[in-house]
Amino acid sequence: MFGISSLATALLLAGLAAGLYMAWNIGANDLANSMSSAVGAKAITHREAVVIASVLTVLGAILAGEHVTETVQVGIFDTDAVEDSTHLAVGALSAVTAAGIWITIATWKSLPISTSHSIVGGMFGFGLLIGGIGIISWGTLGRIIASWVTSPIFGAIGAFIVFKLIVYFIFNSEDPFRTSKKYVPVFLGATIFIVCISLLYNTTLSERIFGRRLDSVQAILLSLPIGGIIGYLGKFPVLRGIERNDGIDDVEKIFKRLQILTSCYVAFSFGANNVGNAIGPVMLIVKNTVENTTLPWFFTNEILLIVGGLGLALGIATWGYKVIKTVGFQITSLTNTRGFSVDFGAATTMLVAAMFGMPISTSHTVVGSVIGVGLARGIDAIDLSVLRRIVYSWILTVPIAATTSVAIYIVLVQFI
Amino acid sequence: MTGKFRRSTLENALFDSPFEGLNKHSKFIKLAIGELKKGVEFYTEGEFDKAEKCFDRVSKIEHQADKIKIQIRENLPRFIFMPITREDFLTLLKESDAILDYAEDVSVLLPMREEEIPDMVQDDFKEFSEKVFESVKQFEEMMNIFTELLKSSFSEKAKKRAKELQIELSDREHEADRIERGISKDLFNYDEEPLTAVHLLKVVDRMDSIADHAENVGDMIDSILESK
Repeated sequence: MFGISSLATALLLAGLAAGLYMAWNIGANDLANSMSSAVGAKAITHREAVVIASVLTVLGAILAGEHVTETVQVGIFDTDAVEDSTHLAVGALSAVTAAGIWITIATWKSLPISTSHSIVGGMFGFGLLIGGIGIISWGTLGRIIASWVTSPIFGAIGAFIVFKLIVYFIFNSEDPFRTSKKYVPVFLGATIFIVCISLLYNTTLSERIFGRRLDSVQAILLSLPIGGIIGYLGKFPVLRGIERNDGIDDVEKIFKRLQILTSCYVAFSFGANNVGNAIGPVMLIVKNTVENTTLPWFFTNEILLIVGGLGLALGIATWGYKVIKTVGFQITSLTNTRGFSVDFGAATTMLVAAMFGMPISTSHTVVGSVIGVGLARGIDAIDLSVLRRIVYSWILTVPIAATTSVAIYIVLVQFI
Repeated sequence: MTGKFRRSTLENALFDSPFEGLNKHSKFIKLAIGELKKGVEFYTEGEFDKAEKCFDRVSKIEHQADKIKIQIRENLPRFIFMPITREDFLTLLKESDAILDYAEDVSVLLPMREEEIPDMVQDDFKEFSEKVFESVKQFEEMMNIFTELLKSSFSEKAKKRAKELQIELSDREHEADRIERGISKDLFNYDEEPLTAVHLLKVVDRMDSIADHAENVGDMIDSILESK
């Protein structure tokens, strides 16, 4: 098939299937987790969450997912040092399969594990087996692991700052309703500004539009007016039909609308940060299975990113909606100003991490953001034991995914 | 697949608000005090049957509120993070609950002796009752402000309003104390009906405790705000 050997065909198809399984898993669990604050705060229904997540995740994956994909593909160990390309392809297949299986088991056991940690663990295990300690890119791996600890902290800081700004400028004002209306363009503009930077800074999109990859200053200078204009114009649909009633609840009504935007922001950032976890290894399989010249069109990077994005969307549509549906009925202490702050803090952290190619845990970042709002005295009750469970998952995930990846590789390599 | 399978990480991190339970408990206080007020009014007018019915309802409401209190306590884990400390929350609940306990005490004690309030203390008793019930009204407002404080994450405006209310609440309690001292003095010197005197002394003592605990809630919220 495709003018390539049957082994290569088998590897390509198995890789694609494993990548899709991984993407489905991520969509079903992590994406649902990320959307649950908006559903929990009743800003959107679970059906709307599925639609928003499906569309925006695919966009995030295609438009801003390349950096993480690159890291998962070649950042964890030196793939060039592996001479046998078939072994490398089998290894990538083992890694993505191991990560997928571990996520399924962990979800079944209700462990708050990270899909990103799983794939990094899987790739690390295989790299260690095939090339030993020397082949591992310890610098990148160290930065990835550091990002797992820092991302919930950044999520917490982001959400803390956003919520404190809401308290300081809006709740403390003489007329919170009028003030919050005044600040709608600021919140809208800031969100669009950050999304724009992620789309333009060092991406293939900017290369296509401008003929070269833009640096950070150029991306910021272009994003500023776009954020400003959309922020200003966007206030009209956001504020349409909202009337003053009484007290602080009016402010929540405005933030309920804004949370629709942050839900899109979360889904977009999610796609950007997570598509690589599923598609990075598939790209590695493709690269090491067929020559570029004989590559079927549907195995190009762009198409694979779309496939990955669709896999994520499929995950939330077929299984993840059950997660968010339950959440929508149960979270009572998350109001819209809090949900907005959680989403903004988490999505910004995810997107910035995606820009720097860091595959971070989205659900851990969301929990970090929740704690950030809690520290700003915004949430009535947080179960701190969730932190202990997260630390357990840090300790468990990499060794388990690595060992499983090695085991699968040892079995699969017998068939070559 | 179990329901647990589908719990999200966020869901695992968040509890249902214990403050909603506290609010529900406060609503029962409002109900009970409303019935107590009606009962005391009927009693002072000599309509003991009607009074007794109200007092019965106070007991029933207190019992229901007790169940809520237990539920709140049982669902408050040690590793919980709240805008106020767990200890402050439990003290707030305890002080609120004491209002109900004393309301029930009065509703049990008062109909034990069905006799008209002696003329010498009748006016003072009415005024004293009003002050006690006003202090509970202030407590209710204080709890509403506390909800507003939580909603606005302790905004300056809500803090200012809470401070004003706390001062008003303290004034009511002080007035109730002052009148109670006068009534007690009169009753201690009421030689004609010593049993009536003892009965009413006990009643006013417990009614004064209602105002005391309403004030304690105000003080508690004030001290929480001071530490923020």
